[in-house]
Amino acid sequence: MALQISAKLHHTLLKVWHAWVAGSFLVAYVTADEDTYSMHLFAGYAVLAAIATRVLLGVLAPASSPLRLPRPDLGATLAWFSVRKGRHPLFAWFSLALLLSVGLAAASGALADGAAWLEDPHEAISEASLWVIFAHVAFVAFIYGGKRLLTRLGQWAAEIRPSTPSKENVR
Amino acid sequence: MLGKMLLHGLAAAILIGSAAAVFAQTRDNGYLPAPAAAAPAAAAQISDRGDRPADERGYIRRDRDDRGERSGKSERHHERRDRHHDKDDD
Repeated sequence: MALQISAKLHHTLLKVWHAWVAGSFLVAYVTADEDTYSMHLFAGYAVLAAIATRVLLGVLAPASSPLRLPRPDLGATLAWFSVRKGRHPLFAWFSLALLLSVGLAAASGALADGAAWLEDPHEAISEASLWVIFAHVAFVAFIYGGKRLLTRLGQWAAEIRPSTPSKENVR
Repeated sequence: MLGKMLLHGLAAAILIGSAAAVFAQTRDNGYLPAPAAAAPAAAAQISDRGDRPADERGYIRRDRDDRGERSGKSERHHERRDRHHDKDDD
């Protein structure tokens, strides 16, 4: 069964889901201390629900939908680097890495209710997934604004270089 | 676009954080509305408490570990933290 809804709605749903998982993860991360344990529990289950919803939507969505689960391909990735046209394949790799790491962090946290030995792996996976998130944010920032920023910085550096006074002139 | 996404995430964090805070309040403090049938019994209990010492009337918490109603997982967190502190002391 494919979800018969407009492409615009697909994008809106994707944005809502992104906000949901990002907000839940943020709350879960900052409330990991034992004093705010109940909040951590609530936010953790919100993350788990978000990941489960995403997987379900990804399976049900039609092939052309942005909600479809990403399927990164190593061959296609290598081919992209020789052409450098079209959507960057690292988006798909990051999506998969994030779904796996954040999903594992949430699932291990939920399972730690019954299996205490999962506490430490849960903490380690959560820390690792935070770095995957940082890398994802840095990558997206670079793709959408970083190149322009680098060009602007280069221009700015070229402008100020000739006007910089030498040490002899200062004396 | 990136800034917008970050703002959406922060707005969602505020909403989820608020919901989580309400959940934590009901879970940790037993702040659930009492059933109508139990209300007269609860009122009688309160009136009986007058002759007890202040700490038994709920004004002073006797111990930090008095949160008996907390889940076992929370206790596990305490144990884990203690283990970490012990390691640090060594």
